[in-house]
Amino acid sequence: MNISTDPAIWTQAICILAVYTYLYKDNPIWRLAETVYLALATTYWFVFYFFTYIQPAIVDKAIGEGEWHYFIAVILGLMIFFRYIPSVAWLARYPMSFWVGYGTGYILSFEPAVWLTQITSTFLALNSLQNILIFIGVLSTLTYFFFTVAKENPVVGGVAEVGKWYIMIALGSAFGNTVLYRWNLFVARANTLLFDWLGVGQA
Amino acid sequence: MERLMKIDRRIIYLLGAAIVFLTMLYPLGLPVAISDLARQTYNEVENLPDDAVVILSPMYDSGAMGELNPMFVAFFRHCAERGYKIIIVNTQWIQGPQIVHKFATQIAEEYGYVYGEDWINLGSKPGSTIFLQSAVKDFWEACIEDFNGQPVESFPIMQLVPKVTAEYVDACLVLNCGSPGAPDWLAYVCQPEGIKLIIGEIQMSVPESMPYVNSGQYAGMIAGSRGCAEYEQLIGHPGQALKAQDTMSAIALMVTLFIILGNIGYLATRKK
Amino acid sequence: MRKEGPMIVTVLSSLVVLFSNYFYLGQQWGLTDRLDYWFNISYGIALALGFVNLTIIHWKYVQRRREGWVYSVILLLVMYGYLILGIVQKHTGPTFSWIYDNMMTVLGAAVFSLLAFLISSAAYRAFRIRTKEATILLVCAIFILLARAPIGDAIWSRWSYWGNEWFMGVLNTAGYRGILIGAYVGAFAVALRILLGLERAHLGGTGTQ
Repeated sequence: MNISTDPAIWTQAICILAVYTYLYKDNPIWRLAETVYLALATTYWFVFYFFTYIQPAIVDKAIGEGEWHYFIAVILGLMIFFRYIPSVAWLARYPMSFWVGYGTGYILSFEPAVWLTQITSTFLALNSLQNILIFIGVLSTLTYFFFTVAKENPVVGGVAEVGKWYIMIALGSAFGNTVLYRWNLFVARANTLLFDWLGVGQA
Repeated sequence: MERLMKIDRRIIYLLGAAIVFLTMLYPLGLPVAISDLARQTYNEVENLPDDAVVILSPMYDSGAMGELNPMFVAFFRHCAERGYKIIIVNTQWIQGPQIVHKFATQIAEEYGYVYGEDWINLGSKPGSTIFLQSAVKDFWEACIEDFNGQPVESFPIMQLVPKVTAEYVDACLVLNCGSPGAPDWLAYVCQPEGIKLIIGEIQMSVPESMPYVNSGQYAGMIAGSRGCAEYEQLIGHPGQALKAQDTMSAIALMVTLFIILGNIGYLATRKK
Repeated sequence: MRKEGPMIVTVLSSLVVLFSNYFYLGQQWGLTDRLDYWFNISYGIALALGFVNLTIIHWKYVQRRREGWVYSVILLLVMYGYLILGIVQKHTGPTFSWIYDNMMTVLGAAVFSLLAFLISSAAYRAFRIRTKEATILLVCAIFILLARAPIGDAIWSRWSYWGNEWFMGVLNTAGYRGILIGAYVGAFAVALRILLGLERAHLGGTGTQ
C-alpha cells in the first residue's frame, strides 16, 4: 500500500467517501457534500458562460466590432429577472416566449426528417428474418399506443399484444444496460480510491 | 425461504463494493469478443480521408465521465494516429470540454499535436440546438472564443472550418449521455448537411440508440463500456474500459443471482 | 398585452424560423442568422436564474431558521465564495480550476454512481415475476445483463452474438423504434400546438386552451 500524499487526491477521496456515507443512512456528512456540490455546480455555470460567451459577445463583438444588435440579446436575457419584481413580472414572459417559439420553429423544421427516416427504415423489403421482425415489431408497438382504438377488436388487440411483448423486450434490455452503466460509474470512483489514493495494485 | 426476500440492502451494497474492489485488484482475464458494431465504428473512423477534420463533441458532464472519458480517449487517440484535425466543442454540457482538456493535452503531446494547428478546444457554448444551427451557418461567429479565451479566427485549424458543413467537416464524433446530445447533432447538423455521425453512447442509452444505428443515421456507435473495451482492442491501446470488463462480469452475475434469490423467496411464499 | 404580447412573440418567432428554413426567400434574407445569436446569448444570461433562485430560496430558509438552515448558510457561503474566486481568477484560474477538478467533478461523479447500489437493491426487492409480462422483462434483462459483459461468452460462446446482433439489433430496435416514433409524433403535435397558440404553459397560468 502506498498512500498518496497529494492533497488533490486526498480531497477527491474525502469527497467520494462523504457521498458514499449516504449508503449507510442519511447523515450530516452526506448533506454537507450534497450542499457543497450544488453550490459549486451552480456557480461554475454562471462564471464559465459569463467569461467564455457573454463577456466576449459584449466587449469584443458589441463594443469592439460595433455589432450593437448583441445588446438586444443581453436586454432580452436580463428581462427574465423581472420575474422577481411583482409589479413588472409579466415582462419576464417575453424572453421565455421568444425561446419557446424560436425552439419550436426549429423543432418543426428539423425533427421530422429524423423520424421520417426511422419510418422509411422500417418499410424495407421483407426478404430477411431481421426485416420481417423489425417491420412486425414497429407496427405492433405503434398499435399498442393507439389508445383511441378499442383493444376488444381481436385484430387490433392481437397486434397490440405482440407490441406489448416487443416493448417488454425493449424495457428489459434497457434495465440490463442501466445496471451495468451505473456500476461502471462506481468502478471509475473505485479506481480513484484504490489506485490513486491508497496506491494498492496497479491502475 | 422468506428470509431470501429480506436481505438487508446494506449487505447488497457491501457485497457489490467488495466484488468491485476484488475484481479490480485480481482481474479474471476474461476475453472480450469484438462485435460487428465495434468493427463497423472502427472502420468508419479509420476510413476517413487522410486530411479529415473531425468535430469531437463531449456532450456530457461529471455524472457520466466514468463511462465516457475512456471513449473520448479512444476516439481522440484514433484520430491522432490517423493524423486528423480535431475540434472539441459542445453545447449546454458545460463541464465536458473542461473534463476532457487534460486527456486531450496528454494524448496530443504523445503524437506531437500542436494546439491551434492540429487540435483545438472551443469549450462549451450556450444555446443547445440553436447553437448547432448557428454553427452550420457561421462557426466562428457562433463560438467567438476558444476554451482559453482567444478569438477563434486566430487559430489556423479554425481557418479550415468557417461553417460546420460537409464541405469543411468530414465527421462528427459525439459522446452522448442525454439531451441535448447525439439526436440533436443528427437533426440539426449531420442529417441536413450530410456529415457522417459516429457516436459514443452510455450503456444505459444504447437500446434507444440502436434504431438510429439500424437506419444508418449513426454511421457507428461505441455501445457503452463493453463497446469501448472492444474499440480499445481494435485501436491497439487497451485502456480503462477493457480493464473494467471483469468487474462488469462479476457485477452482472451478482445482480442476476440476487434477482433470482428474491424471486425464489417470492415464489416460495406465494405457494404458501 | 400581458398575455397576448408574449403569445404573438411565440408565434412570430416560430414563423420566422419556419419561413427561413422552408422558403427560398427566407434563406436569402437570412432572418435567423442574427436571431440565432440573440437566442444563444440571452439563453446564456438566463442560466444565471438558477444562481439567483437558489440565493433567494436559501436566504429565506436562513431568515426563518427552517430545519437544516445551517446547510443553507454553507451553500450561500460556498456559492458566493466560489463566485468571487471566479470573478478574480476567471474560469481558468489555478484555484478555481483546482476546486473544479478535485471537488466539483468528483462530487458529481460520486453522486451519480450511488445509483449503482440503489438500482441493485431495487432490482432485488421489486423485480418479481408476478405476471407474464414481468417474466418476459426479467428474462430479457438477465439475458442482456450477461450478454453485455464477457461472462456471458464464458458461459456460452455465442451469448454476446445473440445478445448484440439479434436481441439488441433486431427485437430491441423494433420495440424502441415504435416508442421513438410515438414520442417524436407527440413532440411534433405539441410544437404545432405552440405554433397555433393553443399551448400556453410557458406563459404561466393554466397552460392549455
